[in-house]
Amino acid sequence: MARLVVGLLLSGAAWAGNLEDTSAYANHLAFASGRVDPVLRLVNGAGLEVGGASAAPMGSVSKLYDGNPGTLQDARSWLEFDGDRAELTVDVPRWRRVRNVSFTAAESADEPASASMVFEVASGAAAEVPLERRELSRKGRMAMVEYATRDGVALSDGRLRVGYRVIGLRAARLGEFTLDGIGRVRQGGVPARATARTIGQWKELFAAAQCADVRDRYVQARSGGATAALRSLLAGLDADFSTRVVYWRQVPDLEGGYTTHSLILAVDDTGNRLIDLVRAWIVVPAKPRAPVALVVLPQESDRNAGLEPLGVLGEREMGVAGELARNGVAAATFASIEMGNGAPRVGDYFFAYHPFAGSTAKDVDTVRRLLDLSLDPAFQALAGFAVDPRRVGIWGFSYGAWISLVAGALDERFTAVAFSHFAYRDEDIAPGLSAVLYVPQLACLDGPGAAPLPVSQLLRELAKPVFAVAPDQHLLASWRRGIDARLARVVANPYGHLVTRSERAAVLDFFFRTFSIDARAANAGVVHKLPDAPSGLAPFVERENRWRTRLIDAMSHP
Amino acid sequence: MIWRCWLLACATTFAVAAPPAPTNNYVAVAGTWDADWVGVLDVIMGDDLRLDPTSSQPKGFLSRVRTGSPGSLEDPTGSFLIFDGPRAAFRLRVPEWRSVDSFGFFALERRKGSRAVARLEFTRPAGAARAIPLARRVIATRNGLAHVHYETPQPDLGLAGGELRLVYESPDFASAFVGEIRVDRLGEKVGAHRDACVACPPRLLSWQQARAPDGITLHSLLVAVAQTGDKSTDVVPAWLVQPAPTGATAPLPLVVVVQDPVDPLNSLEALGMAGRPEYAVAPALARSGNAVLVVQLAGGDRDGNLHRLGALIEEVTRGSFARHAHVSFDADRLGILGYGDGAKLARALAQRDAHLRHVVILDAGDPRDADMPGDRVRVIAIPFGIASRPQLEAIAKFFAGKGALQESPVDSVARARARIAEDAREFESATGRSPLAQGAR
Repeated sequence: MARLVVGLLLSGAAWAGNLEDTSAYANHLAFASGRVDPVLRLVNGAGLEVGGASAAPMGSVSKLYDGNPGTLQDARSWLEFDGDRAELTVDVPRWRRVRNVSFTAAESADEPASASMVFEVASGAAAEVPLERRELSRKGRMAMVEYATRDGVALSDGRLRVGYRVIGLRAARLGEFTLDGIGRVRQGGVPARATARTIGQWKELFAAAQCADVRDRYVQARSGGATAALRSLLAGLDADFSTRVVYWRQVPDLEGGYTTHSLILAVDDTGNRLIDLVRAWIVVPAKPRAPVALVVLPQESDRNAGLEPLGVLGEREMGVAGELARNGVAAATFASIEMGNGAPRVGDYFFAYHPFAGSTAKDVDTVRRLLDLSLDPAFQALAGFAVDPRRVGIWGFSYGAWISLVAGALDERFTAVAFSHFAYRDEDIAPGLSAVLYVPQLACLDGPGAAPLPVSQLLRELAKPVFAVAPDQHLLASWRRGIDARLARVVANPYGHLVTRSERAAVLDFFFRTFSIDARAANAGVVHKLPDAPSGLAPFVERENRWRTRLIDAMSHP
Repeated sequence: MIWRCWLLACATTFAVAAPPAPTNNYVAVAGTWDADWVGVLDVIMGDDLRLDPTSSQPKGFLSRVRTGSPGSLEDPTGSFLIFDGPRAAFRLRVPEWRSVDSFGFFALERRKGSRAVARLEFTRPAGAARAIPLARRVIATRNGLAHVHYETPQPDLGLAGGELRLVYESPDFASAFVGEIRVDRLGEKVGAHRDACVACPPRLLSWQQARAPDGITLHSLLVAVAQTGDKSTDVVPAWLVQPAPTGATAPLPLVVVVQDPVDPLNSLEALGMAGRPEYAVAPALARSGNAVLVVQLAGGDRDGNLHRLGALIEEVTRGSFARHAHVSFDADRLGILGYGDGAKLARALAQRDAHLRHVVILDAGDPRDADMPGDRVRVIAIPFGIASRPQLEAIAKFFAGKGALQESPVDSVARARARIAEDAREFESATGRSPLAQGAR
């Protein structure tokens, strides 16, 4: 009877249904769950099914992408089949280039199983993909092995068929199935823990080995300007790792008049999904007839902040992607590195792999990769839109403001830069941004009176249209000093740590003007001015003082 | 659709609706960030609450007034939204399907001689503004400060399809201090001022629609079923999967899907949006013409879950959703499908509710159950705990009235268990461990 079930076919993704096509946020949900299996389900399991020649699996096919490669200590850690033969098929979409396929198995140590892999392209042609067998462990007569493709594989737009037949045992047992090494068992395991939740801990671990080099590089670079000095501080990541799209879903919003491209990008190869995988979204006007302008929207480090520019969660004042799209401008947003707020802290996991880089280096690297992808003609051809490389902007708030300033300064492809509420004075940048682990190396440059990265100088060196929103009188005055008013506009938002509707409209209008788009941003809320001189802030300061005085008075007197 | 018509009617006030985010109702309840109620209130009010243009500018994001926290006299500058002037004015869109029965907000005022004034009005499209009275109550004092709660005194306002406009003027501090804006007392802790309601009539709080490419519509819902102040008790995420239109006008069979509440991703799994693909039953059911109600149940509180299930079925079949969705259900084809602990709930509901005409229980256990009404309940035993695609298709057709359903052979599960145990023995023997018989898993 159980055999009959084989013929009835237990399959995976193909009958998972298409309701996922209604949501552009499955990638966010997978990460927000805090579990590994929802992420691997999207990355490795999306096109995976049990083939027709297979014995029936005696459990869910999701066991093949649950992050558990199996262990010889526990029979239940394997997906057991109701016979000696297992067959898997994997649809590889045309946007994906799979360079490595692997799976683990439990089999006889003395009689290796028969394993094969064939790739069938859409035209019907099929080619064998050689596999290498590696024994990972042994217990009694059983061995835990990994089968993996050799280097040089590049599979795309076809179906992979994996055949496996165990010898000397009744049941085939498969562990983890991985594509592109994501979730794969790593030789050597995880690096020793290097938890550094504070800059003090970071200095204890790394300063002795690193600070002399940091200072040398900084001093050499500083003569080239603040931008060169900034660049010298943001080393430490493997920039050579080629970005790979490992999840991509296009969700059209017919009412909104745009399409959201929901993505997961592989950007590193540490084995830690929080570092290796980035979730991102590109919102594109429906059926653009010409290359579109693009604005990248880095935001805060809150777990859900990547969704704020999309207008579906969090501060709705930040939800500008839809409005940009309706005015013909594409928007790209991403989830910043996890820094706490209900998620793991960056200091808990990041420095074990990249001890000499902080969140800034990581997120600026993500911005670069997202821009690489958006400007890649091959990606654009698959996505059905083109970006005008002369009209590429960036705008972020708070932490995203810092990322916007840095990425705007370092990446010449940005032709317009806006940032809102970067709140550090020049002399506070070294102690402040190292303390929050944005740029821990700044701790090597900290000292009395040190201002190693003056924002005013960075602004002067930008030499491209800039719209900077300062949070107070001091920064307004500081940033305005010496700037080219034809290129840069510096104003203040006197209301605190937020983007108001008026500010949002002013920033969007800046991009519309700069990109020669005939549009005006909407503002259905409170309209106010953004003072561009310190004296313009005086009435706000006066009002602020007035309510504080009255409040303190009331709190002091029953 | 009503929803779209309403969007057009309100286009002048709210230029843009947010794009559909069909899993945010789940994230709102399952996730935690900042404070318990933030996610829920974000989904319910995020797009509907705006500043009135006559307001002074607040010195913080508007989300501050929808966090679940009413403010605190201990930390007035950190817990109230402070405005740049004495006037704070808000607009709250109330969709046609929503019924707002109470509205309130919190403010910081002078303890004595407060000159604050609050006005609330409700306007329907093309209608005149109607003033809604507000009652003022001081809930706490500290030195010269008072924490004030304004609330509509009438218990059942029944406001729908319009816009609430709140204007609050507080000249005493030169700035208005506003705490939580509270609709239908959501997020309010039960305590000194009110009693808990653990089995309230259901109230539809959030409703989004998204269309899948093959014409299936996914209605994403948040429904309040209790008022205890605990969000996981009070609010239930659910989805109504509406099959692609066929041109026929006959009422749809409705299948309620109850996954295993122990698994946090259970409802998403049933929708095919997370988890094990073999349990993505909703799309399969919808493709055969069934409407499918997928419910996210939390934890193992059996009686509470039975109440939630009942309340949701009531809301979807007879409540606001039923009145506004333009979907009609066939009362004679109301079914339920359960798996795992969800199967136990389905059994319990089937025994107590004769309205459930067709019950299918996917169960890796013994399909025989003398207590089950055999004329209504089909128990499908699942070898290895997984329903095959043909089994699911047969179940879908059965619910849709398009085919009969044979129960599984009684001994199929027993055979599967034996097979699993046999393989476990093989594994144990091959790895040199002492053989241990293992049961089904």
